[in-house]
Amino acid sequence: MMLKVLDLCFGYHDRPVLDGINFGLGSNELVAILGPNGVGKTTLLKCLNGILKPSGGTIQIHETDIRRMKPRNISRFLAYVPQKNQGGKLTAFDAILLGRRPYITWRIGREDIRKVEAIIRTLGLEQLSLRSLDEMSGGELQKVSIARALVQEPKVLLLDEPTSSLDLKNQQEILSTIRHIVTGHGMAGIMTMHDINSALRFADRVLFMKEGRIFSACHSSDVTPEMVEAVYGLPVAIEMFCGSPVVVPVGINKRA
Amino acid sequence: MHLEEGTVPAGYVKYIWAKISLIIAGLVLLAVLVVFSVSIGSVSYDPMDVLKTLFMSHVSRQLDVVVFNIRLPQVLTAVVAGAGLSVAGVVMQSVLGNPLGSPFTLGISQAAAFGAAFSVMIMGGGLMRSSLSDAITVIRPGLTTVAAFAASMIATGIVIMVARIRKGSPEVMILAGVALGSLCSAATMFLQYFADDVQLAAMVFWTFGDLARVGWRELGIISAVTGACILFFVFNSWNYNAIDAGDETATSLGVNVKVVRFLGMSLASLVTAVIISFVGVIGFVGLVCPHMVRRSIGDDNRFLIPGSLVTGSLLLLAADTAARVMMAPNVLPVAVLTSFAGAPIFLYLLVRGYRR
Repeated sequence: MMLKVLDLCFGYHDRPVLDGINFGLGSNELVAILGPNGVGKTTLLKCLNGILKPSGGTIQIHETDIRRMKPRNISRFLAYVPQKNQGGKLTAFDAILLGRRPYITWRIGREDIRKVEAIIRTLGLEQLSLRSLDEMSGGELQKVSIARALVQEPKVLLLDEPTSSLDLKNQQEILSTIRHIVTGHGMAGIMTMHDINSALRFADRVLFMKEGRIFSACHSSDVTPEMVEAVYGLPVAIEMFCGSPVVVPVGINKRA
Repeated sequence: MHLEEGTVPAGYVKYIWAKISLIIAGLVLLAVLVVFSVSIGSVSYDPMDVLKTLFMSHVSRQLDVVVFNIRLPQVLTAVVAGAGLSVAGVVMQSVLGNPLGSPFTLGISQAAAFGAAFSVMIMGGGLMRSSLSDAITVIRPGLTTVAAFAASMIATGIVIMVARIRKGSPEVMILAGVALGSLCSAATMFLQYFADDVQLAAMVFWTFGDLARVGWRELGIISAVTGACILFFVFNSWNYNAIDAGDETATSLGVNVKVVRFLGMSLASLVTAVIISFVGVIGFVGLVCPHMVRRSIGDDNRFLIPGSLVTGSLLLLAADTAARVMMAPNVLPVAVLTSFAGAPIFLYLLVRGYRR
């Protein structure tokens, strides 16, 4: 297990949000966290990399408690891709270079620049490299943000709704990029999602959250309509379509 | 993940050198302007003679006195104060995540003006004399300086304390600063209303930022504080870049956002407070310069901080030189000019920037 979460709890001002979360993550594994709005998916992700301080429970990296690690060392292990990306008058190259921050103190070295160039080539971002972030589309910004996370050379990638602001083509592109990187480099990935169909297609496992707990965790192919109905409170059917499982709400039509 | 190393792309190297060249060009221009500015005034000298006096040999006794006792301290104060105010603006804009961030957004200048007014009225620093060389001078300027500094640091302390209660939120810092600035203005008006003619003149006169007030000793203090703080800011440029990318991204990169924000805020306020307590209120440099440099060099703090340093020096020195020459032999306080010229430049930049 690369990452282990044991009995994790968190609350905003005494209002409990996460209530005893347990799960583990192995290498080459991509996990999707699903659940209704406000159930604590993003909160869970933020607890994992120390943006929020959990009120109870432990998070372990290779059996080491994260609280006993320096922020700099955590950031060499866990990289985070936020849902919203801020643009500025900064080139994509410099924005990605920022991902080397866990390794640099005073100034960047040639190898930092070489690594940025390598990741730009891996993700095929050569055309963007010297463009300014404030002239980029949502999809381009998201790719830059993923590149910045990857240049941290992390073991685990945390992605907060990586496809929420993207069109259909970009959604598929980003998710298959993430899929390839996770399997191709022995990494692991956790992403929160709303799009259940993409989750079933790209993730190895899905965790359904309900009322601050993990309601069920299983392989993507084992998801049943009953689970989805219990979590979202909406009757659905799951059909195979062109080789992928597709979740379709039932009993609701346009006029209802 | 482990990355295979690629090559250093030529395009990026070129792009970095373009920025470095811009900064170097600014430095050269600044050096020329320093010599020019020392040369001209109510009496003008040959710049070559000034250069000789500065670096090589004695030219004439009169030139020695004018250069070293009168003009050089003022010129160097413009260079240091311009750099300090401008870089403080950059840092505040970054840690507050707000383009309005500047030494003035947080009520520092209003607090300093109140401190000066308080010292004039209550502590009796308000006697004045007139002389031919300098219009009016506040007697016991040391007391006024200390009072102005103390008031602005207290104001900064309150802003930071309020923000601390609200977990260091930048919005709270800005709003608290605006509220405190308004409180200080009201308190200053209260003092002014009850002041006699002489005291009132001294209070108002203090707020006209004027670089001629500074001698070598004061310049030493300003330079030491400004220099140390700028070094600290340069050292933290990657942290400011991270905060510019968003608090969450910064935290996930191992940056302690709260500490960087509080230290940046406190030191930027300190630099500003030191400068304006010695020279009076100089508006707009801290807001305009960073934005001018953002348009040309970009938002990357590695280059934005040195770029703003040079631009701030250039702008304040140019303004001060103009203020000395424009209505010679009368001398305008430089603060009148910075805001007067700064605001239209700023508006022009805004209009041009948003047409993109």
